[in-house]
Order: sequence, then structure tokens, then C-alpha cells
Amino acid sequence: MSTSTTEITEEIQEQLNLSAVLMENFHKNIKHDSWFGLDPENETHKYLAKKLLKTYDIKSARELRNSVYIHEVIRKASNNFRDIACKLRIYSEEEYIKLLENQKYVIDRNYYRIVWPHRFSLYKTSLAGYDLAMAIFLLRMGGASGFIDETEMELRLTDITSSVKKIFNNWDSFHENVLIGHQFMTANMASDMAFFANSEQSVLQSLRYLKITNPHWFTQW
Amino acid sequence: MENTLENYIEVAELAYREGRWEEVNKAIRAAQEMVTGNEGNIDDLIRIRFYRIGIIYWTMYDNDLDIEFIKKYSDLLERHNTITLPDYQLICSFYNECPEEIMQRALLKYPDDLSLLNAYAKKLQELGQHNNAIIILEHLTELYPEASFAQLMLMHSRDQLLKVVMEQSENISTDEDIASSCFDLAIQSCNMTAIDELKKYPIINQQNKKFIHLDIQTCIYRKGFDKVSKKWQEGWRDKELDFNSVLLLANYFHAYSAYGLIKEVLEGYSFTDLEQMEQINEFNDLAAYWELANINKVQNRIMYNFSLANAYHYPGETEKETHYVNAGLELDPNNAFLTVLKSNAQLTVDKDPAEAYNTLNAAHLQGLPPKTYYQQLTIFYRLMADWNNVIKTINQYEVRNVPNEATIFYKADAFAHLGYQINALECLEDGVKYFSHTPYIIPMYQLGMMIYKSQKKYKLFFEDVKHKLSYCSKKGNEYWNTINQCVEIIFIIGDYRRCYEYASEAYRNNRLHPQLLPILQWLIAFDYDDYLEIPEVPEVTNDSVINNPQTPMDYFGNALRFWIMGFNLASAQAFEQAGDMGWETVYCYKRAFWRACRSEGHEEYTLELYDKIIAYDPTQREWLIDYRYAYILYTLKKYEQAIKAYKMLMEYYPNTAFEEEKDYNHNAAVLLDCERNLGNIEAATRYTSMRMSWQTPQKTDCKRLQVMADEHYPEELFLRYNLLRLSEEIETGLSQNEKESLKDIKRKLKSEYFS
Repeated sequence: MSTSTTEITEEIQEQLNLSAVLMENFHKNIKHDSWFGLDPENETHKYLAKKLLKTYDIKSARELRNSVYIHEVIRKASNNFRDIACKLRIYSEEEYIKLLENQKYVIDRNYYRIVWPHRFSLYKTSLAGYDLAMAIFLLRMGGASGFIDETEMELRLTDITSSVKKIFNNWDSFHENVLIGHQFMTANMASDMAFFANSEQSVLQSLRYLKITNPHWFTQW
Repeated sequence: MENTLENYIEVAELAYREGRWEEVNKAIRAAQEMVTGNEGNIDDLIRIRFYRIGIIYWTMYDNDLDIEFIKKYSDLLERHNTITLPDYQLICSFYNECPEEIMQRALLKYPDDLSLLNAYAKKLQELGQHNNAIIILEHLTELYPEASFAQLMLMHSRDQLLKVVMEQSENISTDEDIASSCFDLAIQSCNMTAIDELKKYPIINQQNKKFIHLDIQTCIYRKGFDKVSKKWQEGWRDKELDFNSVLLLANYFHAYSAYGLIKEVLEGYSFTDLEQMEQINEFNDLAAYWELANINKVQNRIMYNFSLANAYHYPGETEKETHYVNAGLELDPNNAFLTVLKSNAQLTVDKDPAEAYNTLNAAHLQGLPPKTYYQQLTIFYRLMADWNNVIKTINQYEVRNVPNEATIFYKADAFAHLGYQINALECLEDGVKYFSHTPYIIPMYQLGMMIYKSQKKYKLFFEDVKHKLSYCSKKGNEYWNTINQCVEIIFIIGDYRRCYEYASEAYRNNRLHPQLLPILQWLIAFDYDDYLEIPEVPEVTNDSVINNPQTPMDYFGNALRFWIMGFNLASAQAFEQAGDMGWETVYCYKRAFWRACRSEGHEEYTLELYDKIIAYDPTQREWLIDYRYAYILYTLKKYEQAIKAYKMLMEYYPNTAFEEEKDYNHNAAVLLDCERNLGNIEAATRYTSMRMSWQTPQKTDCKRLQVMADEHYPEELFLRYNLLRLSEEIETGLSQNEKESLKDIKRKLKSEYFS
């Protein structure tokens, strides 16, 4: 690895910041101004990154690239969201309530409840912001597990960032999308019971923490 | 089917529900052709249906929708007064195009709907009316605390408003009201640049509640728990705090399980009654209705109840806990976290696991995310001691979540309880390697110690002890508890030197458990003499014996005391009692056996103890004990049993029983003696012959065989002759009679066989 690629310019930092909220939510004491956030030399960090990737069925560099593709281009979370939204768009309120009651699994119920208020408003963008942030997040985790290096990261980051910029106009609308996406993917319909940064923190609290610790971030789009 | 408009619409609707998009497309195109230019003649209700399916279908793709359609659609709906919530949601979702009046009418009808509020807030944000947007969003976040995106919108609006105010008003630095409201907005929107700027103005009072809130926040984000709690004790507790700051502190202390501090922070706080709104007739009333949310702040009240309920749950003050849980659930019956607390109380206080399980599932139904649900379920099963389900639940948790120190420890613990020690050790290996910075490291090493102890891998056991002690402070109880535990375990293992090191260290620091004192006394009385700096231990006398022992440790201590004083039988009996109570049973029985061996005249009792050991666990047999048992049987002249016991010895311990040459002789000699005493001459002869088969047989054997031959086989002349000659050769010396009979036999043989 040459030194020129490992240097993080302001532009790259901004690109990396697209995943900062998800990183902060995943683990505290993330080094946000590094390529991978976690330290590939640190055994615990490597273990965490590998275990996280395992939950996405990623055990090799090839599978990592597949998963990034699935999020970046195919937009997996967006598609799931859109499928449910599409179904719900034609439902009347009574039909919706009946649908909720007939769900066998609680998690499906939560999915429907999360999508219902956004089924019209979020239909077009769907969860694109979350998907793209997730792609960067997975790349950084892959880097921490030793699957890819900085050069590849840099190239991929440029692609992903240009997609993000096409869809969103500012940091807040992007982060809003990430928050809804995270809520959807974790099927979380419970309120936050944490006001500050701790290990079980919510994404919102992570964002708040980042805003406090890095005041100049998330200002310029 | 006729090609009417209604049919087309019906086909399109059905196809949409079933996801057949081409068909939808075809039907809608056909319907559209019929509608265009012909609108006046079509029934309004059918047109409404056409517009609805049309808008829903067209917005599926990126085509820009003609805003005329939406206008026509909403006009029609309102004219016929058939408009429903989903219609409004659909129309208002185009918040850029949708006229404000429609939105207002929609909100007047449904003032609490998430989508409508969201759309209106977005519209207001677009229009730059951040003041109003904040009111709406505050209402929204109070009603839907799970909608974190709305919190972000709120932050955004506040930030924008702050920017506008700071740019426009010229007298921030002099007007206290404006400055303080700006400061408020800056804190709420986490705008650190603005905060830093505002701090410089002397008009903002440094003793202000807001300033303290900021101080608390920065302290929490930048410093650790120690600093925060110290600052609370020293400064903040005496000052008047904002309720937000109080909640923030309580929440922070909750994460560190400082329940005493939570009570200190929150107690004594009283609320005014919730304010109610009578009726909403006009849109202007709505603003007041939404502002109620900001006044009532129901979520803060729920947080208050949640924190206090938690604070009372762990110390076990159940009545107060139930009070706060119920108070919280009254405010919001669907709060998942409060329902979890209710479930905990049902399990621990009411002892009703079935009900607790149902309540936990209800919490899941209310929206508890699967991650938290699995964590709670794991805790539930742990309290129920249902280890199989603990493992199952954690496996499910780990499908979608990264394992953490708690799940790893719980899993290992469950495996250990089920007896899968190898799996437990595998889990612990990960835990110890990657989570050594967490508080779970101590219980993890403790579990490892217990597993290695039961596997009898003492080297690994002592390694874990060393690691565990390295994580404990000598000031804390955990360190000395471990030492005490080790003294007990190591004594049983038999590593007396190390046991003495631990016990004397604890004794010098006054931390040795009184029940373990006899161990130290025993070590000093019986073990090595070269111990350095023996601490002054009270002498064991009859008075130090516990008169009415209750626990196995009492009996064990007594047994050691009797042993030191030399009362072997009493010691044996005390050991037996301790074993009977299920504490290290095999060890106690074995000790009792040896003590009983030392007390003469109680051989029968010793045999009973041996039977007890074998009946308790036949795999725990030991060469020395078995050998002793056989020997006692022999000395008691129970020959038949003794023969069995000796044969068993050879069967179970072939290596030990025949380790040396003389052992063959020894076993054969005992068996020979038993057989002879029982009168089995043939068997006795066999054993004697066996002994004779060595190159240099023993004189006694030779003699014995010769006597036996003389006695029982007087006709076997050759045998008798050979034996007599042998005796003569190995210089046993023959008596006069034997010499005579040798001569006699010689003569007979000559005359009978060789003449």
C-alpha cells in the first residue's frame, strides 16, 4: 500500500462520513477519521467486524463485493421497503388494521407499521440513503476484516457518493432516510430509552453525539 | 365482460393487488382513453376510483405526475365528502404541490396522524416557517416517540430558526430574551458553533439552568462516569436543575447501574396535572392543541417513571417499582420498555412465569425490536433456569446481531449448566480473548475456573485464578471471595503448599472466611514444617468445635478440628455427615474412610463407608482405598470377600497390582492364605506353585508346600521326594523326621520303580 492512497483528504472524509452514523451506532470509540473506523490490527475490532459481516453472510472478499453491489446497485433494503409500500398503497384503513391482526410473526407486523406512514411520501427514494450508507459501512467493515484495501475503498466511495448526491439535497434529508432505514431494518417500533451515547445507543443519539463532537461535519453538502 | 370504465377500473384494482403490472397498465390506459375529454358525463364516484388507482399506479414510476390530477381528485372527494385518511395521506404526500388548505383541512380532521403531520411539517420547512414546523414536530415526537426521523427534522428546524434569528436580530448581545432563546435552540439542535459564539456574550448568565444543562451534556459526552457522579455530588445537586437535565442525569446513571444516584436525582419531583383541550373547531385551535404536547411532555413523564421503576427493581423494592410501572403505563399503555419491566416484576415478585412470558411477548407486539426482545428473553430463561432455551434464544439473536460480552457469557454459562463443558470453554475462549475490557471478564474467568476444576485440569484452573485475580482489586470483596473459594477448592485438590499461601494471605488481611479457619489450622498442624512466617492461629480445643452444626461446611470444619485433636472416629463421622449433605461428597467419604481406618476397632464402620463411596460413584474408586478395603477384609478373616476384593484389585488395577515382582508374590500369598483357611487345598496348591515358579523360591513357601504334600497327598511319592529334595537344596534344613522320611521314600521308589 502506498502512502498516497492512505491519506484522507477532506473530500474523502466527507465521503466516509456518509456511514458515520451507522458506524457510531454499531460500536463506540470508532475512529471516524480513519479509512475503516475500526483498527484492523486490533484483535477485538477485527473480531467484531468479522462477526458483523457474518450476520450479512459475508465470509470472503467476493461475498463482500457481492453484498456491497446488492446494497449499492440493487438496493436491497429499498426494494424490501418498496414491496411492502406497494402492497399497502391501495389498502384502506380497515384493511390495514385487519392485515396487522392477521400477521403470524411480530416482526412482519412491525415492518408494516413502520412502512404505513411512509408508503406515499417515501415511495420514490425508498431507502436509497440507507442502502448507500450501508454499502459504505460494509466496505469499511470489510476493510477492518482485511478483505479490501484503501485503494479499492477510494474508488468505490467515489461511485457511491455520486449516487447519494443525485438523490439527496442535504445532509438532513439523507440522515432522515438512514434513520428510517435503520428503524425498518431492525423492525424497531419502541421509543428510545437512551438520551446519550452508550453502547446500546439509538441511531439518533449517535448522530447527536457526532454533531457535538464534530461540529463542522454534516454542514456542507 | 363489457368494456365499461367501471370494469376496467375493477380489473386494474384487482391486478394491482396481485402485482400483475402489465395488466394494470393496460386497463388504466384503456380507462384513461374513455375518461379523457369525456369527464362531464362520467359518474363522480367512478371518476374518484379511476383517479385513485391512476395516481397510485403512476407514482410508482418516476414519471412526473400531473398535479391537475391530484387537484381534480381532491376536489371530487371533498365535494362528495367521501374522503378518508388514506386519501388525505396520498394527497398530502405531494407536499410541494398540495395546496396548504387541503393539508389544513386534513389535519383538522385527523390532528394526530403521523403522515399528515410529517407532510405538513415538511411543507412548512420548505416555506421557511420553522416556528410552526417546530410546534408540529414537537407534537409528533411526543405522540410517536419511535419516529426518530421526526426528531432529526426537529433538530433541523431549530437549527434553521437559530440561523435566521441570529442573522436577523441585531441586538442578540444585549437582549436577554433573544439571547436565551437562541441558546436554547442551539443546545437542542446540538449546534456547537452557535453555542460557542453565544457563550461569549456576558448577557447569558453562567449560573443559568441552561448553562448547567450544557455543562452536564458536555461532561457526559467528554468525561467518564466518575467525573459526572463527582460533579453531581459536589455541584449540581445543590442547584436548581431543569427537568431535562435531571432526566439526562438519571438516564446516564441508569446506564451505569448507579441506582442510588437515580433515586437521589429524581425523587421529590412532582408533576402538575396533564392539560386537556376541549374542542377543536378551527385550524387555529390546532396550534394550541399541538402546543399542549410541549407543555405536558408526556414522554418525559414516562422516562421519569421508567428510570425510577428500574432504580427500585434491582434493590428489590417491589412495591415502589410496581407503582412507577403502573403510573408509566397509565400514560402510555403501549410503551414496550415499561411492559418489559412489568414482565420482570411478574416473574420475580409474583412468581408467575407463564404470565411474565405473555407480557414479554405483548411488549414485542407493541414494537420491542427483535434484538432487545431476544436479550430480554434470554434474561427471562436464565431466571427460569431453562438452559436449553437460553442457548436457542442466543443463537437466534446472533443470526442478525453481533455477539456481545453478555450473550457470550450467558451462552457459556448455559452450556456449563447442561454439562457441555467443551462448548462452554469454546465460548469462553472468544469472550476472554475479545471482551477483556468489559465487566463480564470476571464472571467469565470464574466460570472457566469451575469448569477446569470439575475436569480436574488444575494447571488451567490456576491460570484462570491468576487471570481473575489480576482483574480484581485487593480492596474489593470479589478478590477475597475468590481467594476464599480457592482455599476451599485447593485444599480438596490436595495442593497444600499453595492452599497455605492463599489461606495465610487472607488470614493476615483478616479476610479469611471463619469457616475456612480449620483448613489453615490443619495445614499448620500437619503439613510441611518449612512454612515461613506462620501467622498466629488460635489453637484448636474442644471449645472451638461447633456444637450444633447446620451446614456441610460446619461439619467439615468440625471434622478437621477433631482430626487435629486426634479423635479419629468423631472426625470420620463428621466427614460422613458433610458428605451426606451433598458437599464434595466423594471427597468427604474418602476422608471419612481414612479417618475410620485410623481408629482401631471400627473396621465394620470402615467397610460401611467403603460401600457408601462405591454406591455414590463407582467411577471414583482409587487404588489405595480399594487395597485398604481388601486388606481390612483379610484381617477380619472374611476370606471369601477378601478373595473377591483382591481379584477385583488385580482386575481394576492390573498395572499397579503387578508393578513389581514382589507384588505377584504378595497377591498370591494373600490369596493362598485365604484359600487355605477356607480349606480349598487345590487352589492353595496352585497359588503355592505359582510362588514356587520363581528362580529362587522362598524358603517358607517351599516348606509350606512340602508340609501340605505330606499332609494331603501321602501317596504321591515323586512329589514328596522332589519337594523334600528342594527343601534340602535351598538349605531350609530338614528335621530329623523329614530326613528319615526322605530316606524312606527314596528306598520305596528304588524298590518299586528302579529294581
